[in-house]
Amino acid sequence: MEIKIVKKVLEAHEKLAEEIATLLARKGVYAINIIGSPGSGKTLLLERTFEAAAAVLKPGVIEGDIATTADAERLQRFGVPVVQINTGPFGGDCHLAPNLIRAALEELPLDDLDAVFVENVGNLVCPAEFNIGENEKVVVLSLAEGEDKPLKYPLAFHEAKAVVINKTDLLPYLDVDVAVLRENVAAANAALSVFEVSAKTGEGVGAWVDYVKGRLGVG
Amino acid sequence: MHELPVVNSLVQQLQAEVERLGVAGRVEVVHLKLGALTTFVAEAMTFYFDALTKGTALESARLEVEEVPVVGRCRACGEALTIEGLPFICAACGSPELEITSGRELLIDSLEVRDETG
Repeated sequence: MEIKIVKKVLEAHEKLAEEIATLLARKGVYAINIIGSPGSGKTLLLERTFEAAAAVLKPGVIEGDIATTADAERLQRFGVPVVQINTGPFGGDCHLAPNLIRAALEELPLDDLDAVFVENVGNLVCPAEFNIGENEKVVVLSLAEGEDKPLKYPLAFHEAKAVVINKTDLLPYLDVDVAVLRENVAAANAALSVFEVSAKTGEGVGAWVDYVKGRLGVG
Repeated sequence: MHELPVVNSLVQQLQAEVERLGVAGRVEVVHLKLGALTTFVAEAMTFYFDALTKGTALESARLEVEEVPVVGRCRACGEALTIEGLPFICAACGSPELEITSGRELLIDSLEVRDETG
């Protein structure tokens, strides 16, 4: 006997993500879910963003890591509210799920913020899969990872609105062809806004910060 | 590794469904539909399914995963598309403005139950 069911396995996740999106919209907070490999420069990009836009941006941050509070500590000097989520001390979830985000949002003073940056667990696979009620996903990809990554991890690029190609200062030392990388990015998602930056030197960060301001509709 | 929490949700949901529907017999097959544009791996899902259902009412059930192709429509020229790989562009006009209509699903489609009452 066959019994028809037709139900989403992640229904509870999706419902929660919708509730988060509704909450953020009501509070007038724009949420950016930052996805990228470990070491791609997600935290340093946030630091540069807060330095450049300190006068106009009222951000909060949710830091996702399997372990340690190192990233949250790095961001403390900006005086922005940061909530650190650790998914498990010896190998927990490889992404942030909406239930963790909802709990973290309760710790943030949403009435005083205009943006929440969620730095997802370093990983190009699972974070792409789970909506957390964000307004948009942004991929941070460092040049050292190679030009083939958009082809190997198409979902992350497909789901994103922008990609930040980081560590352009390393270009002289790498066998990476930026034109090919850009072609691969376009193959995964031609509608992506693409930024080339060096979060280390600050080069190109201005265009990225302007993009963020544009999305938030601030200064 | 991210299949584990997902299969855990699946098993809990199945247990709730079996109870809700009052399924009397033994569940032999669970048919799952998995979009090609997800990052979940069918082999990993069946592996976790067997591990997580051990010692439960679903122990005898087998998970069958059917892949759903990525299907969409071009917003520029209206062409219906099946996308088998990158690039994500319309095969007819080259536009990247695609509306994906299937390929992201993760659905419990149906159960096959052996009636043991007769």
